[in-house]
Amino acid sequence: MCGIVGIIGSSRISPRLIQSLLNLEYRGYDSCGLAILNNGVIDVRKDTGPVHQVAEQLRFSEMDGCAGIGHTRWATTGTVTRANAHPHLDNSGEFALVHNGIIANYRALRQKLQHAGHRFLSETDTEVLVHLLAHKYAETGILDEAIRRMCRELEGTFALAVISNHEPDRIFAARHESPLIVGIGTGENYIGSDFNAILDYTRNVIPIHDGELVILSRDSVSIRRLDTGEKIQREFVKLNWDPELSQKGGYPHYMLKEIHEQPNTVEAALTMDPEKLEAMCIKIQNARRVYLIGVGTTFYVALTAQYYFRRLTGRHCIALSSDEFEHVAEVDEHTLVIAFSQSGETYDTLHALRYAKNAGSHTAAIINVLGSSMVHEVEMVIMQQSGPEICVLSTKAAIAQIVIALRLALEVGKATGELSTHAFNDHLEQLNKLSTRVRRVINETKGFVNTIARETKKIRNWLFIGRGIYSAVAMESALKMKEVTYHHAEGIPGGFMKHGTIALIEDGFGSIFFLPPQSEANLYHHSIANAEEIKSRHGFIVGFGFGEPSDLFDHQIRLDDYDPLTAPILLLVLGQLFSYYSAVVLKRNVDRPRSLAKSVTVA
Amino acid sequence: MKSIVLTAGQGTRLEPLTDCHPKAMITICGQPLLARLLTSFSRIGCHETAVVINPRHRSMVNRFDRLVSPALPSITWFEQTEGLGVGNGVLAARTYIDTGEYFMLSYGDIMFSDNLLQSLLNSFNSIRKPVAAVCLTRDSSDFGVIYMDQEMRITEIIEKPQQRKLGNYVLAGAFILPGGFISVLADCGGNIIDAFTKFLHSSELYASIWEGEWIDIAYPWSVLAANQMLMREWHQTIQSTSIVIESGVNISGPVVIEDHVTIKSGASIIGPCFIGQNSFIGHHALLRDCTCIGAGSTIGFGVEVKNSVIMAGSEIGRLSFIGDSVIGEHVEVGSATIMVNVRMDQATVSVDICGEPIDSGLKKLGSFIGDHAWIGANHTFLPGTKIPAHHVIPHFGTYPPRQ
Repeated sequence: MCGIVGIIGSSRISPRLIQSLLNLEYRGYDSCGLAILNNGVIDVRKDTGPVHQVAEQLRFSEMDGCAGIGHTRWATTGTVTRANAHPHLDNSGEFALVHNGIIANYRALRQKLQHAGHRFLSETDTEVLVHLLAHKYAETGILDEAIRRMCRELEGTFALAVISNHEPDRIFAARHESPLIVGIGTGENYIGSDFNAILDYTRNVIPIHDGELVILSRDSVSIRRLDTGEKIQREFVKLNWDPELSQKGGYPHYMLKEIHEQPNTVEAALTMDPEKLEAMCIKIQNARRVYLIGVGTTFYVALTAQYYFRRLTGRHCIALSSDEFEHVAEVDEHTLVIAFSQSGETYDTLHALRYAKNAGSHTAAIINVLGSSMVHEVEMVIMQQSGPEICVLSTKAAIAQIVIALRLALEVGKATGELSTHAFNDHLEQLNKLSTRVRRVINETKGFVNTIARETKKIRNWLFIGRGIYSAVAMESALKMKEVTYHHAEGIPGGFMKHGTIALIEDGFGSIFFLPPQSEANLYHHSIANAEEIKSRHGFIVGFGFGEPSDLFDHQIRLDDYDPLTAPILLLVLGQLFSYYSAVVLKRNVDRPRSLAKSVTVA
Repeated sequence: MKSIVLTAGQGTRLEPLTDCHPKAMITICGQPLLARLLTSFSRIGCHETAVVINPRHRSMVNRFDRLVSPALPSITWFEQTEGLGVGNGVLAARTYIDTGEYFMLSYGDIMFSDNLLQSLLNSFNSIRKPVAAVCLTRDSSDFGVIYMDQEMRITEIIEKPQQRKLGNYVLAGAFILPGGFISVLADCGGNIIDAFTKFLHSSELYASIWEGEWIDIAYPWSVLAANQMLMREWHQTIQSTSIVIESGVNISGPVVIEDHVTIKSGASIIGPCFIGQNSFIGHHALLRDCTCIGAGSTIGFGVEVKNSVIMAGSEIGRLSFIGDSVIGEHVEVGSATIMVNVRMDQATVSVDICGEPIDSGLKKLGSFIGDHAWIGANHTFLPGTKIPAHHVIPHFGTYPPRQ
């Protein structure tokens, strides 16, 4: 995913291009660059780093010229280096090109062009495009014709924008399966990979469809078909408001919206195909060894699932972090590996699955994104149907995965006879009530959570403590806290306290307890004992739990509508809300925390 | 878009600060609450507004008209029968609104950081349906709590929330509604919560979440909270060119000093602080931590003022301490008056509101003095004391003793 912008006008455009790059940074932030046409020479400046830094170092604002293109990069082909950053020039320096997408046949094209004498400076597929364009231009001498011929040879996806000193008053752009739009200004026109690129200058937009070529001058826009060259007439659309705002449905952040969607994702997760459920259940029964793998949030999902499986089926299904999988897992043909992944593209998990597959193991996955790589890698897939999750932090997808794991454990428990029919029906009924309970937690505790978050915003170090399955909830909540507030939070099982961690506790050190219901007396009393240890060392204690409040805690939220089986999920919702409101109070970038990406597709 | 602002509330809970004028005219940092609210209306392009007042407060119209500035929208004044709720306030201005149009409705006693109305308008523009601003508060027992679904449609409004239902978003007192809402309101006899509930069922009302600061000016200490909220947003010092500052004055932090202020030598002003025009700050005075001095006030020698609002024309005698207190207009405070702001048992301070002690939740809270009160020298006020307007307290411990 990369960001593209192009502006053609009658005044210096560099300040506006910089602003557009800043607005596009969320689409990619490992490198950026500009190419501006000035007196028949294309001035290209690009480097690795965030936009504001590169713009300052390379003095983007001093670039003159009225037509230019810019790019923010999220590396896919070729590493993060200055040479690989866009825009790319051909050898003569007559064409500059930016591109978003992946060209599948770039190696073949590159070899062909190298034979024809083109020298390549980078490892990217994009550079192939600009050389190919120069090559085609040499054949035809007409730029739009050259672009059309070039596009005909490409396989893969692209949205691209081109400037050339042969056509100094124009910007050319084309798209195939990557987003592209045109913006209409007064005496100035724009091209961008999305609305954010041009949001500051115009609200009049022409959407561009696949297989179309756009020729932009400062006072005209012409759209043609890439294959026939035929002209297309299309009216502009006036966008009244920030489309992202309408996508968020009025919520201030995607994270809060997605937390609010959780009751529905729980329901959706429970409507899974009974045949699939049964097939998966048989797979688990047949396997001698079951691994549950994930990384980050999905590892904690696996950890929670591990407790559910032990409780409902009597089996220990081993939860492992995907990145460590190949170093510790014992894999053979009697092994089943169940992977959890929101995106289905997670590098570590894919790698672990391939490793298991090579050893003859069976594989399955619970995935949210249809058509992702993992879908094709495993023998069996359960789609969780949570809908797109946009906030980088996973909330609703994680809850849905836990629910699916729980449902699966119930089914296996019933099949193996570990659960009586009565117990099974009872649990299933409680599980069906979960969405209502989650809705109540969200609707009735936000104010309390917000109050706690306001009072604890200065605490920079946290311990999140739980016992039993609640330790997994504590770890996942701690991860949320770390990700979104940048404060240090460590999730630990309560038993760890005495064995070292307690040395950290001092005046004002923050801790959150995820307390089991009081009916689970053993776990509950041990958790309370931990809280007392912290209290006696003047630590600050927040308690999330059920039933009657206890005066031990500085702040507490107690839920009164729960059942012991699904109770951990309700506390996880509190953990999410706490991280969310802490981040809001601290004015963090909630939906796009620093240094994080939605799906980690690299090692 | 037209708007209606409701300011006819009697403000009894705010006594003694509302003894002489309505709460909309409580002045913080040189501007009455109403003027500040109306300025945010014009900033979002809402240039016509109706203001509904209590007939008792007619004088405020004159006083307000004197303030007229380009930053304010043009105002049409309406009067509401005294003692009836906010719903009747809206009905009082019903002729002002065209049935087919949307209008903005706001309570006059809310304050927010910049700019709740803009976010409300953004929400409205993106969905073109009626919207209500909602926010989270520390204690939602005084407000209408709402429940909403995942599309942010409000599904329920609970007027008097019970313990379990407290932890939720509350109506923040700003709405964008269709003109037709007024006839729903009339059908419900002016009860606005009933009208909203009815409206939820017949058409849709969406929530617009406000995550910034929001204060409902309900209690005397809310004035201090509002003052702090304003000042905490300042990042720079603004001084008029006509001020006189003697040598040896120490100013730090963001401070706003208006025209013709005199500050004598030895004074320390530790921002954020506000000093209104024509004020006089005596030798060795110490003003610190969110102190607001109204126009034309006099602060005597060696006075310390901390986190307090002193309104226009008041005089604080030498060697006094004013901490976490609100002093009305034209109050005379005799020398060596101490407004104690902390209890010896470190408990939170309660204040008598309409005959009932209400916990302010604050460990540090001083006194509240009504307009034109005259306090003799040498008194000590315990935390949470209220002095009504025009009250006179003789000097303490005088010689010869009084007969």
